[in-house]
Amino acid sequence: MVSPFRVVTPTTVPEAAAEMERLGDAARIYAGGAELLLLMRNGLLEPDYLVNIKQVPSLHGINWDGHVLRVGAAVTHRQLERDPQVHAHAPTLGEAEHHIGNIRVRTQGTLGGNLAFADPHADPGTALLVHDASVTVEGPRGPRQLLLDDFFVSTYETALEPDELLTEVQVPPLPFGWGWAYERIERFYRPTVNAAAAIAANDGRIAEVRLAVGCVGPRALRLRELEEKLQGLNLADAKRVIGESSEYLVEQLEPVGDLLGGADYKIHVTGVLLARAVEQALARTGDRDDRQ
Amino acid sequence: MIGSELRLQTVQTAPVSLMVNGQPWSGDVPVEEVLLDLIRSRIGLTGTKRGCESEVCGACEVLVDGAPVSSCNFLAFEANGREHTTIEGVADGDQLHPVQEAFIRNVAAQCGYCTSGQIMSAVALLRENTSPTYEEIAQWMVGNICRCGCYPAIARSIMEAGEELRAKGGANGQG
Amino acid sequence: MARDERRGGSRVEEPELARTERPRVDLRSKVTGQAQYLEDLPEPSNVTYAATIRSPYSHAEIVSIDVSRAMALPGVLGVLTRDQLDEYELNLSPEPWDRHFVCIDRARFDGDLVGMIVAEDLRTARKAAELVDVEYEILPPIFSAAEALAPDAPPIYEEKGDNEAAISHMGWGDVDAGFAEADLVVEGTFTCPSIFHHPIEPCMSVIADWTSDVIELWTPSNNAFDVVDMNAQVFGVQPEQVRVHIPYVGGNFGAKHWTREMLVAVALSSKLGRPVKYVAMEEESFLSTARHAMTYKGKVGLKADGTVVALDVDVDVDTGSRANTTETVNGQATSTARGAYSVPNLRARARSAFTNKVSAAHFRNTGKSQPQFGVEMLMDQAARELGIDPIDFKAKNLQQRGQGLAASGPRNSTGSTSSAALDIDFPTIMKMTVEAIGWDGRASQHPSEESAERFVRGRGLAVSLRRGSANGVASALAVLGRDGEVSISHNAPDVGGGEYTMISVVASRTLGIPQSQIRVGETDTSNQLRYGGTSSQRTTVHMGNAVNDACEHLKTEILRAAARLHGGRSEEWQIDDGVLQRNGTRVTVTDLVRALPESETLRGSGFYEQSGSPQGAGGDNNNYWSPGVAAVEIEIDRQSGDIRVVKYAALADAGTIMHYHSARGQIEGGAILGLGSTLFEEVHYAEGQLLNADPFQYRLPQLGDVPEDFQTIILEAEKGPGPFGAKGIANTSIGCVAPAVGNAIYDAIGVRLTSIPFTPEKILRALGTLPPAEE
Repeated sequence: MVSPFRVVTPTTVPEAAAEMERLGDAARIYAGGAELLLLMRNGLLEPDYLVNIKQVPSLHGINWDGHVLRVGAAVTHRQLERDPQVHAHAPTLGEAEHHIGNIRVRTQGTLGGNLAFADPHADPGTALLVHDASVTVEGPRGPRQLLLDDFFVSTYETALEPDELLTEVQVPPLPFGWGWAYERIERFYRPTVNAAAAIAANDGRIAEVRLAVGCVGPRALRLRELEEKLQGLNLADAKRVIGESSEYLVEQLEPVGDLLGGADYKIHVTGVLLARAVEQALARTGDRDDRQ
Repeated sequence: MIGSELRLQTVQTAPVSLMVNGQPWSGDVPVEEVLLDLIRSRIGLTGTKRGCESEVCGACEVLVDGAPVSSCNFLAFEANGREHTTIEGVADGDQLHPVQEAFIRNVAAQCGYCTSGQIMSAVALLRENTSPTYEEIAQWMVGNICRCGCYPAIARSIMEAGEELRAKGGANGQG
Repeated sequence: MARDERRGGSRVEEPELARTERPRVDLRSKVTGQAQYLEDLPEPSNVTYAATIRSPYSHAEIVSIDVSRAMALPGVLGVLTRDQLDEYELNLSPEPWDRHFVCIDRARFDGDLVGMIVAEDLRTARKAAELVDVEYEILPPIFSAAEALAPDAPPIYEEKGDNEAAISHMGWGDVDAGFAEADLVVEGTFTCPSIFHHPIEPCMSVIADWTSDVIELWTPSNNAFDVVDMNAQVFGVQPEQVRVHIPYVGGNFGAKHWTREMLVAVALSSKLGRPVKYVAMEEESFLSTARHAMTYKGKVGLKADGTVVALDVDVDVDTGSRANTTETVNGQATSTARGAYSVPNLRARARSAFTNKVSAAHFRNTGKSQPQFGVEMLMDQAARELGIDPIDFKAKNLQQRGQGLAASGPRNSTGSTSSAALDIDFPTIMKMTVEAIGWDGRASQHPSEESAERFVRGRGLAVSLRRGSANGVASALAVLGRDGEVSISHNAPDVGGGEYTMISVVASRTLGIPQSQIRVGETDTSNQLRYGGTSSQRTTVHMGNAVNDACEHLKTEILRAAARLHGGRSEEWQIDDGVLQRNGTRVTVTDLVRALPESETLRGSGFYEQSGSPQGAGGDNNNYWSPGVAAVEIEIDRQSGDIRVVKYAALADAGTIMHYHSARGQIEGGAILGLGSTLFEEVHYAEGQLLNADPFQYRLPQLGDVPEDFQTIILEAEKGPGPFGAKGIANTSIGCVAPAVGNAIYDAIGVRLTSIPFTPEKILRALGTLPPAEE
């Protein structure tokens, strides 16, 4: 049972930030509640206050401004899954959103809540990293923007100060002609391993590539050294290099064996999904010569 | 700060006015109360069930403004101003919804405990798509667990109900 | 069956009954949300709410319990721990170490019941439970039967001195001589971990009221009189002073019986003078009971032509922290150790051990699925080593129609040890099942180039053979009301298998009165109609026969009344579709009963008993053979190790089907339940704790795990002892899944996994893609 609390309902972001500052440790941001309420029902969290941000209009809305897709923090997964602008400008995100949880979790849960909760077993973060997405966070000191890559710190840990909230996610589209892919497997009810790739191809070879993996380590991250190694390679060579990168992956992801599987299993599947994502992304590029 | 560290007493209530199955309800509700308890205990509609209380099983599923929600983890005050459909509101009086009739015909319910959630989910799916493939049904219904193993009959029922709804000219007649 | 070229196999046709039968009697209320389960029942007006105090340690001395902080909370009414136990003792077993319904000296599993606290509202009760201060001294836990049975293992029950909970033997012939004459000896060890029934309605819920001289209980249980008798025994009252109501049960599978929590609630109700309601949270539900983990070590000796000459099996059974069903399950492990095979020389031994885990107890197909996994995998392994196709090997070695099984067997067994002649032909039913998935039962040929392919497919076959159901009694009463409706009173809880519908069908057929005029009552033991419980696939035969008996007696009364009022002799009257007829005279049953004096009620009592030794030369009376066959095609993704079931076919023989869609639901549902333990489910114990008693970390089958191509074949081949020739089939499909899939995995990749669940990780290790797991 959820323990009693009080709820405050600001209608602007500065109001919300002011509440967070005033209430301090005793308060939690409440958006969709999909994650938060589970913890509260279990007694793992007993905040005195919930700061309900669902009535802040600026936190809703999915807007393409001609350069970047802007997603309000209180937008639900279901909205993202169905929005034509997402499919047009950030299909990687749309694909990731489609796989989240179940239809109810997608109805109730928000992108902002998902990113701020920072459970590594999550779908959107991995996909957003290959878009070089950024986020706006705002507190009493005003808004600041940072790369999503800098926003994620570790498991359940982000760069949010205690009196800040996530207000918007900015998703630059992939450059024209790039291909994309999002792959994941699920052993229980959340993703166990996932990978995203975004690729520009030239003459059947990888010209530029962005790779992200999630779930296995404490946070989703880009694999920048591996990206460098794949440049200029065709698909077969790229798969080979990925297949030989176990040690690198172990070092980057620091896998831990648990009920989902052994550490070596997780690293292996990470490699498998990366290879599939690269293949899929290449197939989706504007350059058609790579199709064997 | 809340006075008692034991957190036993409600410290805030919220006025809630909502529609359930076309009927209005209003009252003051503790802010920590979940929609499941409002529906079952205050309104007295016990067709929606308490299962895992973790959004996994779907036994507590209701439709809020037509969208599927885990009422076990949905704060009741959020229901203010919204329209709700529970299992008791799926039939039109004595006339069962095609999904309900198909469930009976195919025995898509055995113990029946997950059935309310299965039907709510199926009704929502068919409003979006009256001819789902097996894969589409599997993807939509992933959060509706049936331990008795009625899945083949559930899938059959959804497909048959979809056919019937198409024949009647669309999914928006009922529920 | 018709050939379906598109699918590459046969499509099973439904019988005519599928189209003509009436809908299930319970489903309209279930699809409209009207059906009531325990938590839907109106609460007694002065009800109180209970919460449990549980050990967070798997094994610990309980040093002290301090309830003072808890009792000081306003609204707390009472508590029961070992310190408040005065006159109540619980004689659950003859052994003194298993006596009490709360922990006395130690907690013996993570979640063990230390006590219960009651308050005016649930939130207060749960908070109070958190405020009970228990001091523990942690002891090292034992999490496997092997560890528990090791010579130097510390005893979990000190008074007992060791951890052996049961031992049984079964055998005949001379296994050593058998192995000496064998051309090949094949050995294998096959393991099943602990799993949880996980009904969607949580376990253990109860409303207990002992505020008068009757103990009244509402609880979802599959066995009302078990609850009656346990309460009578514990509290020293007559069984007639215990009244049990069972509403609809939201899934059982063996998980819902009498519980310790129930007994504590009854005791507290008496102390407080108010009813006590206990509902478990989901995580607590996991703590009720589990399925026995088992390790099957088998050695089979064969001739070069594939004939089995000897089988030697040792089964270790993990019974968890208490001795529920231990003798029964241990007995099943020995009697099922040889499956349905004809084994001239057999030695089987099973030992059950106490461990520091949730108590293992009944689980659909109790005690049989695990040894069946072992024997079906071992025999398939032997067939493969000899280069014999699976279906041919089985045809050669399975018990043949007309043969009886051999002599001695263990106590309390309902396994296939009867000398009664087998009435089914395995080659025929295997052929039907494999054809349904477009297979001929032969080993797949995999060209070597295939090993570079991402996907590979395999097919597997497995069979089961049950000897009917456990022994028991059933009673029913049929009363003709003045409105022309027949009320059937009984105590077979409806746990989802269509129990009430079967009763309705049998009553209708026996009486010649339409089902619309039959009313099936709810479970209420105040009618004293004893029944052995909705379990062990017995209800169609036992309760069906009792209802048939009751309705035959009622029919006799109706015909006599017809003769009395309208002439002729009773034998000249018939009832058809609710109308009495004789020589052109027609009177509806409704009109007949209305013409009777008010004081005269027409009724009939019915009774059925299955008893007798389930094994031994005489066999058991009224039992029957109940076969199961499964054929499966799977696809393995060699890169990720993922397994997908592509096609599944299950076969059963119902004798005479009472309700087709219910029968099909039992077969499909059992197979899907089996799929859970085959691919996903495991209760994990490590680092001294139960790690995954929560919904996020216990993966249940979802709709997408079941292939669209899923067929059930329900025969009406050999008649059974049930009404109109019916047999029970509910538990025949579950035990076939794991070995069918395991055999299919071998067929696909040439490696035999030996433990369920078959996870992608295990596949990758078997393929050599990953190194072997560390021990």
